Amino acid sequence: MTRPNPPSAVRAGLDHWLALCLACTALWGVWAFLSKVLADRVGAIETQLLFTLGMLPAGLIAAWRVGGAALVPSPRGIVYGLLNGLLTALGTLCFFAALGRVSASIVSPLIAAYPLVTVALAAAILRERIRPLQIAGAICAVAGLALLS
Amino acid sequence: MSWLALAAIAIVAWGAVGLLQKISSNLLDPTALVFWVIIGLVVGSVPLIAWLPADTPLALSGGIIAAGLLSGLSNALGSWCLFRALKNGAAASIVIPFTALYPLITVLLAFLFLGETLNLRQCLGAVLAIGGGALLSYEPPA
Repeated sequence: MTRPNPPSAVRAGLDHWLALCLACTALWGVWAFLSKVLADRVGAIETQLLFTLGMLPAGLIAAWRVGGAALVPSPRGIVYGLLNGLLTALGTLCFFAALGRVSASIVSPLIAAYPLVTVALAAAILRERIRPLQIAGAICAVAGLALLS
Repeated sequence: MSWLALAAIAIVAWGAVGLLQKISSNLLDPTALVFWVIIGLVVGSVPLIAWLPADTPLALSGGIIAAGLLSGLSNALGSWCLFRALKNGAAASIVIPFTALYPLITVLLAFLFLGETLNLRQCLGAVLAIGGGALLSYEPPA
């Protein structure tokens, strides 16, 4: 008689890309919600410090998993990585400060339009071609920004 | 500073992060990138301690500290799920725009637990901004 093996079935289910994709969306949604709860109660700087502290275990795990040469690939790689982190920090700090002033239902969707800047910069600096779908996205995003602001 | 100016800075900063990720994708392994982003966060955030108000005591209860740590953890875990999904064969052209829809979850949670509501104009704006962000993130498979 064959019987299903629940633990491995569950593991396979949770490890499916769609489940992971849904989990990512839900977790980021929870992150922005918790940010609002915190920004209202303790302010942007405190929220930023606690958020960074909560991210630290992930940094340590990443360092442990990658280790060695891959972690310190090249001076250029490190500069890009650090700059990425510093800009992320600037973005989160401003996001938390904005959350302390208006509702999360306004700020969170408004900030979601940030790929507008990525696409514009990629077109200007990397000479990437803007696709029709991205033009449609840009029009939607700009209209959304206008309606929310 | 007004909330709109703050949001604009966040949009530009995260937009630039997106560009940096494009440029550095062949220089940095995604897990190594997570490490450097967190180092950057620490370097950028720790000096902020100097700006903490000295006259008012920190209103840090156990619940607030737990929520703060959980906020960082949920962000990091979300990123891990995204990388894992890509590793498990997900098409970036589907997963990246899909995960860009996360503010919908925030709006839902804010409605359920904080009683936040949007008027029709704001509702339309939220849908357009989130949908526009998702469309802008779409990159067809190479």
